[in-house]
Amino acid sequence: MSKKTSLVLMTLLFMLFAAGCWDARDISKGSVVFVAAIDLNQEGGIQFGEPVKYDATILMPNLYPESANKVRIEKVSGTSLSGSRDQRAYINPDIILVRMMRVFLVGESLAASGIAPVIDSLCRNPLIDNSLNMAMTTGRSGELITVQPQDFPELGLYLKVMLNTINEKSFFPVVTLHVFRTQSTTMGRNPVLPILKADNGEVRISGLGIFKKDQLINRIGLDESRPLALLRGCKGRAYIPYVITREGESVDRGTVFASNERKVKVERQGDQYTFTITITLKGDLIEHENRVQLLQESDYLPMVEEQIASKIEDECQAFIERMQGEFKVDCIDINKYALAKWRNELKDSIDGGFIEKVKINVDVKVNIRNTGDLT
Amino acid sequence: MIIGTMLGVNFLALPRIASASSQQDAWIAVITGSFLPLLVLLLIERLGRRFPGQDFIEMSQALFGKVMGSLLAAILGIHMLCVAATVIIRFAYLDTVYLLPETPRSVICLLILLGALYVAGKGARVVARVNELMFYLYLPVLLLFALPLLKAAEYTYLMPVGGSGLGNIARSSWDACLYFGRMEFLMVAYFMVIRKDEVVKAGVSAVTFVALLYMMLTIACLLVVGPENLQNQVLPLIGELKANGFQFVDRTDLLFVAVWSVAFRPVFNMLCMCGFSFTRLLNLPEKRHYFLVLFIIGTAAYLLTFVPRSAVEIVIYTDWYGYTYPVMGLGYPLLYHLAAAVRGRKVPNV
Amino acid sequence: MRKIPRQPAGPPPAPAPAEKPKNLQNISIPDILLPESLAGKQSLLKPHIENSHDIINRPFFLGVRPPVEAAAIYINGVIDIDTFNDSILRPLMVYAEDDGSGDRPGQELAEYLARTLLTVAQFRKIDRLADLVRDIYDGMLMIMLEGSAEVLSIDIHKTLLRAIEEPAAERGLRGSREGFIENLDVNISMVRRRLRDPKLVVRKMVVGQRTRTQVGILYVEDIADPNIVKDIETRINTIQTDGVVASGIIEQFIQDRPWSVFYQYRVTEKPDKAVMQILEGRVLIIVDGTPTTFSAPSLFVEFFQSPGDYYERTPITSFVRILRYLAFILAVSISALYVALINFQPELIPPDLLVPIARFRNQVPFPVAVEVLLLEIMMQLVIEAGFQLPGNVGQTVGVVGGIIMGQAAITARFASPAAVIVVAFSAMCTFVLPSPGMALASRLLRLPMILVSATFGIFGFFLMWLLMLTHLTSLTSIGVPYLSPLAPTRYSDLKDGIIRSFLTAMNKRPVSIPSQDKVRQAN
Repeated sequence: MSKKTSLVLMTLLFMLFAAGCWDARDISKGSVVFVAAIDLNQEGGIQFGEPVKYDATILMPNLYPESANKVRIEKVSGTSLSGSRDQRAYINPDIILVRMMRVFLVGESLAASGIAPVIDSLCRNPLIDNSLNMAMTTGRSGELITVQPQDFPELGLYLKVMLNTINEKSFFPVVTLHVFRTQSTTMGRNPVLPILKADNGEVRISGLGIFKKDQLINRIGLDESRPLALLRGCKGRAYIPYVITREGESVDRGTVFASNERKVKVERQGDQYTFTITITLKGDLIEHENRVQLLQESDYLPMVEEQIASKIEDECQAFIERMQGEFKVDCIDINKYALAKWRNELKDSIDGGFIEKVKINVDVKVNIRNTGDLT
Repeated sequence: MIIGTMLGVNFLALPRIASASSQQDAWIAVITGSFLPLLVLLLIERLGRRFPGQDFIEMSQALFGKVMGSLLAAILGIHMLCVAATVIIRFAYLDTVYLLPETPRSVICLLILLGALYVAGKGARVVARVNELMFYLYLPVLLLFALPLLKAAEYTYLMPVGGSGLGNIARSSWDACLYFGRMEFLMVAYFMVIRKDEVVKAGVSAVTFVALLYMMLTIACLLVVGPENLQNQVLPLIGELKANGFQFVDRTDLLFVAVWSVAFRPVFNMLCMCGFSFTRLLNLPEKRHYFLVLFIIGTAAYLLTFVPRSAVEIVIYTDWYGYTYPVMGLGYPLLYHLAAAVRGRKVPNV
Repeated sequence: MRKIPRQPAGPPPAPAPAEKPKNLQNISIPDILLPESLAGKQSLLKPHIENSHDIINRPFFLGVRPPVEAAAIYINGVIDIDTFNDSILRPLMVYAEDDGSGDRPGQELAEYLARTLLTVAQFRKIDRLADLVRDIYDGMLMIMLEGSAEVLSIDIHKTLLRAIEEPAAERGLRGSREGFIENLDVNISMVRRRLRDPKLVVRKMVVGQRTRTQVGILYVEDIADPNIVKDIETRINTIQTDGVVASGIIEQFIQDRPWSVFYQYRVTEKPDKAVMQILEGRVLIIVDGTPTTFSAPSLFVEFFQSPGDYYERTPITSFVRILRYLAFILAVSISALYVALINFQPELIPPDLLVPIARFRNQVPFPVAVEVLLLEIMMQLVIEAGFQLPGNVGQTVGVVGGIIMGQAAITARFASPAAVIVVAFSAMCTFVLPSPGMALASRLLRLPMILVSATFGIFGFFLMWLLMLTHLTSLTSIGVPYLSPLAPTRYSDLKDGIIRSFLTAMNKRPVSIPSQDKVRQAN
């Protein structure tokens, strides 16, 4: 390479530098969105000549140390979700950076009308992480977002950690954008969303929303979320309390901290499909009240195992009945096993009237491996 | 080097293309699609054996006469130029979408081109070494795709194997093999390699490597994203990487894009080959004019990058251009073989 | 001294034969035969030495009968005056009155005197004016005799030498504490003592028309590649300059790519390191007057090796070597990466870390690129100041500059703590590198890296790395690819590349350095 040509190249490069920096955005001049809450608009209004459809409320940590507020919450409305950002120009001098969003909330009414349209805005932005957590709220999510949780720096961190690690303390599904999106668009699968509820200045999880594709069709409480998570195969670890009764009197109560696993088998006889769901719970006995010496009474632990298994089996059977009778969607994610075997035959019927007709057996196995420090 | 040329950005989109018709069986299509480049490789190798000691230009002139031979060689050169341009556009697309949304695409194209020219300007030996180096450096990066599998894999997306029907798989493998393309650069490169006996070995192992890699990527995408969703994403592999955050690498997708954004090996490989063919063709002394020729070629490629106006056009144009790969890759060696067979007795091997 | 016209700059001359370098004849002293009379010689010599007051002309009579007029000419302080008195003057003046030396004709006299009377080790006879003048300035003692056209040139050099001590720049926990000194012959002897192979070739050359510096080239004849040896000799012979005072100057004259920031030859002051280089088939170049020698060809990976590596345990050195590569990568990239991430790709920073960084950034009025560049320049100035000032003061400056100014910059909201950490860390990383050359290169490379990253973010950052790697790949050191064994990949050499394998496993010499004898040791 001659010197002249390299000189030309270098000059060109330096010219580029002189002109460059199109994308330089100092983070200190940006507003980092941690939580976004989307609702259907109720007040009505006109933006760009069209009726307003969505309200978008966002929560951002305040990056100016001088300011008294830890977070900044903004609510804007627009005919489309991203279109509402137009309004932010008039209320916030900073650049909005949505790429670091951690939690995405949808209001109840919006969930009922289908959330695929708002998901598009998230997925189309290549910089948004698909592992952000999703949840729905009872009532309007824009109101929930204004709750400042006590003893936590801000709601974004609180929600992110709570929603993301809930399966370490309970049988409860963790729903990320990726999970919701794949499940709502894939043949035979249906997502669920955790429900958040504002209660006395605190935000808490109050149950699960059952979705048919992207539309909310029903809600279940926390009592039913456990069988759902177990049936659905959402991996987690949870505290399972048990009470052993003999002749109508409780003789022992205790707790097993166990992790779950699910196996699904599907068989077909003509048009009758039979699913067998095997739920295996493996864990430790962390508490039991009476003074039975576990080392001496070797049949005690199997009894506890059996007690838990039968109780959970009952819960699951009850839930399956409700699902087949009331929800009429596969919210325990077993259709895919049928599809894996008979994809072409089931292509048309899988998302309509399939789950109601199948037979589902549940088999729960409990294995207590450790009993802690005491015998 | 073969690996370097084959691994552009296309493979980020490959799972989408391959699964368009064959759904869960896309990975089979990818494997069958790799037979075409193998065929091209063998054809070129046979050709090279027929004309030992000649370079590509001499060979075409010997086969087709001075004018026709030069013309054919020039067409191949221009084809490689266009390929380089399409790769530049694709990389620029990747960069504008993920990394620098505000920076004009023309600037990014120019940057890529200048970078590639710098590499290509160092000559074929350095280009080959850079390829070698980058192969090792990028190996761990390519393995990033395995990370989401740990958390989000769903094996039922692959089932039932072969259920999509033979016709669909065949259609997909045709689509996939377009993405394997770019073996035609070997036409020129082959004649520069000193140890020719190793070309076939290296080529076959390269194609196998790429095919296996593609297969694994496709499987990974299918497992994580599912065949229906693959169609929704422009570059499904990045979608696959996005699926999960990890404690130590929160954004595998962006990390991958950032590192991959400069892996425009096909560009400088093509530019280098193109530069050499044109320098030979115009009978210019290689040392002095190689860089000048390269510069002109680069400018031409840069002008070509202005053709598509939007992202959709980029995908459409480059996909469309992909159809020329089999024509050039398969057609050229066949044509030369034909000519050699016809004139074989009249033109003694020099 | 008279003005000596410089040789006109023309096309580079054809390589001269190795034994008689052409540039010796450049200084325009008339190359004429000396006359027989002493006065004639004196008058011919006079214009060449009359401006050098340190040249002493000591006339005397030979103690023969009849006495013969003679003169000794030497540079004061360069010759050993005791030897001169005891072994030259005394025999010539006192003991020469024997069996009629004076009867001999002038021509034989000089030879006779040298063979019988002069008890010194080295001498030669010269009969040309140019040689005479040159030998005087090379520090020889000249004995001129009346009636003899031949002059005795006697080597009784005695220069004051620095003691052999451990070089400050290359300290090791184990291994030799010796370091080269400024004297070529002593340095060569240090190598000889460690490498007692008769095949060790020591070739001396003279470079620089005016300084006439001696350059020694050392290699083992049946290991080093003759092409490389020839190439190096040719390159040194074609150096056309009037002065060479240090090995660094030779280095720059013979390198392949003067524009590169990377050092193309590995420098050492330690004879044990030098011997190891020679044994791997390299050529060692020692320049008189400089304790730093260099070997060629050199590879990129060598700059991350230190001789101590071979004396320590294998796992430990391997770990340390990986650390050094990491340090180089970090030193070059971490500040640029910081700029790119903060300005362009903040999503790659974990959000919990991002918020505090952003809060601190908010208090700094400059853009992040300016902030980092300012700090970087400040840091480089502190380092440079530390080098300039003597020992302890330098350390103090480092502490004052580094800690106090950094702290003050944060308090004054001149820089954010994260930026200070990043810049200080990258400065630390450069000090990990065992080769000062690589440390300097990494300091310089950082700046364009920051600039490009500030313009194109992480894309620019990786683009710069691509360009840098390409540049490294294209570099050669005496025709040997610089980045070997990484590219071109030589698997057998990698065991002494990024890691250091067991010494017992390194049976072959590195393939990357061309050599004749590939086998280093038997199994």
